[in-house]
Amino acid sequence: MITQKINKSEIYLLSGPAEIKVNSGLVSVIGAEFNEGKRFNVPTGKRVPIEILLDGKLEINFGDTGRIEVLEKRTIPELWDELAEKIFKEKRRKILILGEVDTGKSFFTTYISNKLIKNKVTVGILDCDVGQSDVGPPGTLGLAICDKEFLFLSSQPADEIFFIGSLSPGLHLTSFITGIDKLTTYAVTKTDFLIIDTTGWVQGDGGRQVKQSKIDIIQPDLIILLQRNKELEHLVRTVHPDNIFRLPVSKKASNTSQGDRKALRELVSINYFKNSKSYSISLDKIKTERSYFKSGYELSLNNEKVEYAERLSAWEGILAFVTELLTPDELADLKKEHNVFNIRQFKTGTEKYLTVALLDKNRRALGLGNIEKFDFKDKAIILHSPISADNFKKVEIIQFGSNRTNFSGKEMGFISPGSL
Amino acid sequence: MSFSESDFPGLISLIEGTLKKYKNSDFAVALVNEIIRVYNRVPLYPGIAGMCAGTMAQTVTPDKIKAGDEVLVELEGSPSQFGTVKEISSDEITVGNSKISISETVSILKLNKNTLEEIWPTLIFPEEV
Repeated sequence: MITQKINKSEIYLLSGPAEIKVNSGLVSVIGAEFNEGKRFNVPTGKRVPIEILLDGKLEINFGDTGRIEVLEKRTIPELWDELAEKIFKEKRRKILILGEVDTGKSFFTTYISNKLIKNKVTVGILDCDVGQSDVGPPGTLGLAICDKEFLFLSSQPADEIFFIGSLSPGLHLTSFITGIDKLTTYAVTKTDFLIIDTTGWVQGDGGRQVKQSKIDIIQPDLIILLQRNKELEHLVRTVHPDNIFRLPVSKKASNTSQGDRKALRELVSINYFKNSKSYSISLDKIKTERSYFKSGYELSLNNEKVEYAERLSAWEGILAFVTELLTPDELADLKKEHNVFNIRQFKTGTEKYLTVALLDKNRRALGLGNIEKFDFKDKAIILHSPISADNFKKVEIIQFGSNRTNFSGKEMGFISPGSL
Repeated sequence: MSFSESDFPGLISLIEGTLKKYKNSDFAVALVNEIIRVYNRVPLYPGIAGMCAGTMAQTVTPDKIKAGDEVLVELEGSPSQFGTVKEISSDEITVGNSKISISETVSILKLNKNTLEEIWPTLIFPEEV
């Protein structure tokens, strides 16, 4: 433990892991203020600037790689403060933040949120980065409603989640856009300001399409562009200039490698699923969404490889769960027998680790689960989920996605969209 | 202009381009099969399958070839040969059942089956299922 004397106007950079107690004085950390007696933690891998607002002393307990260094000047531009004031004074309620990957969108969101919360308002943060979620588990959109200052977005519990079932919106565009609409509509009734933190997907057909749709749906009162040059200008050509605010990307914004991204994502996932319990849910009681499974009528197929089958709507034909894939001859016989053109085959066992959302009767997501198996003999789905037994009793709908995650939160690949 | 809302049209174009580009149809089919194999490993990311496709045919020098590699050997004045390398020495390469003098080769293309591991290693998952 060290005691650090601090003087007004000094700036420090603190690298975690470290536990800090303010013995005396007043400090500001990413816009959140801490006075005498207050404590905060900086975890491993995180760095925060500490701005001294009043003289005093800090008590710091460092972990193995933790350290503190003096900075010559403030790293957060004055422009950010002016912007926070503008948002508050002009009541710009819906703020959309755009930027490529690694432009510091989450840090900026945290800072602006804290500055707004200081005015005793409620701030909603809608985290749309399904591949690098801070709010809610990976593969979901997360909404946090905040009325107290905070240091890290990832420490904010999700008040609502919307399941996408993929780490990229790419092949799940309709769910993605629907989720943004639903959570935005909900958030504006519960918060004074809503900040929408987005993915870094801003180029190419998909990136342009998604960002345009976001602007159309959210109708933001202000769009903040965090850009290095002019890489986002194509997205706002038709937006009124008064509704755009341009900020340069901080030189402190660091590049995160593919491997680090996965590791960070898995940390969130492991943390989310760490207290998972095994549950069984009756196939007769459960309803499904975003799947062919349980959307048709159970059917008996005369082939020993078929464990379970359903007749789907019209030309969709038959969905068959098979122990091994049917041969072309077997398929032809079954198609003829049941007068269909199409038989979808799903190999049983492939559902293992498939991540699903568990919804109540009002279609609100209670949490996520990872499937262990479809047990057609006992007509049940066995899955693992961190939600409480009481909440599990409320589950009436299972929403399917494409990601696989094992029971301790590790990524296990995907199933092909549309295969189930 | 309207946007393509998935990367599938790009993947189809790549397959079409592959079939047109290579006159040796066995090699072209092997490349297309490799594109499909990679896509099946990452069905959520047809764009990444497309990125991998771009590096599946690699021009190599004879010293970079070993037994078991699948190669397309372009020859001066003769039809190209595609197959698995059985043996290679400093002056001769055996592709399938054909012995080819290295001095007669114009170029050698190797079919790279590790593109996903090389380009996007975080999409390699344990095969526990």
